[in-house]
Amino acid sequence: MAKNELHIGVPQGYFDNLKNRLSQIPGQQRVSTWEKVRPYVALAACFAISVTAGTFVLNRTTPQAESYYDYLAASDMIPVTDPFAILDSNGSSDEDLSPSEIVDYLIETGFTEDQLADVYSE
Amino acid sequence: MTEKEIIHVFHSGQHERAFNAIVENYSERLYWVVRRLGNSHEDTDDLLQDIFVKIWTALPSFRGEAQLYTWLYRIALNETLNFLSRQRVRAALQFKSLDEEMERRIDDDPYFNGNEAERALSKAIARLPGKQKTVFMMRYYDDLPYEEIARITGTSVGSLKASYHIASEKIREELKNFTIDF
Repeated sequence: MAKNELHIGVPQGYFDNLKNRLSQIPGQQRVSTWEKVRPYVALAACFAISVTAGTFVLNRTTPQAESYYDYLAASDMIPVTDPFAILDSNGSSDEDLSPSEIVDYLIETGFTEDQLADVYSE
Repeated sequence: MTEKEIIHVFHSGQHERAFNAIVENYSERLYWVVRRLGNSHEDTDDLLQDIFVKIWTALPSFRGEAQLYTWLYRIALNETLNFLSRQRVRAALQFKSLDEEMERRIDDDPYFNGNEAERALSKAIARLPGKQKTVFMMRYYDDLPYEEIARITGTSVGSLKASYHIASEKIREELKNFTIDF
């Protein structure tokens, strides 16, 4: 056997075909920049669409939370003074009123004379 | 076009022209580098595509410190050895032997045109470990000097001589029933 001889062959015309294909590599590589980026762009677009659609659906289906201004408006109805503190007070401001002033006040607020008579007779 | 002319053309900005000259001058030689390491024609064809893509992308980094062919040879060799390593791992995962697979490929190769002794030589080479196979191929088929092989593989000349000696002894032992001179 002669040295440096490899006893394998290739198909007819293979090397011409090979050179032709290999010489197209620079052109294919130029195109492949977009080819490389395209899957990532598609992935980012899918993500953005999912987030937008998800937010839209959530906004449509979840009851709206009470706004800050609604909370402020409702806060006026909440008693800020302890009711028991009023009951426990000694009524010092009433001591300055005369009995006739008290009667006048009660009449102004809708008490009838009969009712006043009942109160004072007790 | 000579090596120097190719490099000059590349540095003058005609990248595609330089690449096409490399394809024209070296694709056939690199085909045999890949094929001799035990690959089928189809695997070699696929590997050459990958190798030349790598050459095209790495060409701007070629600084001309080594000869162009040495640089090309190194790329082809690394790609091929990586491919064979992956195949060996894949075969091991399937509880198969890559050596047996390569022997089967030689038996089934429709492009093999040697006699029984040459077939036995091919099988013996296929059974060699990666480094011994590489050195043996480069010496036996490419007739490269050890210094050149050392530049391509990044190994010392002493280590290469030892690997070649061991590889030759193994092959001689396996082919003792045949009259092959090497």
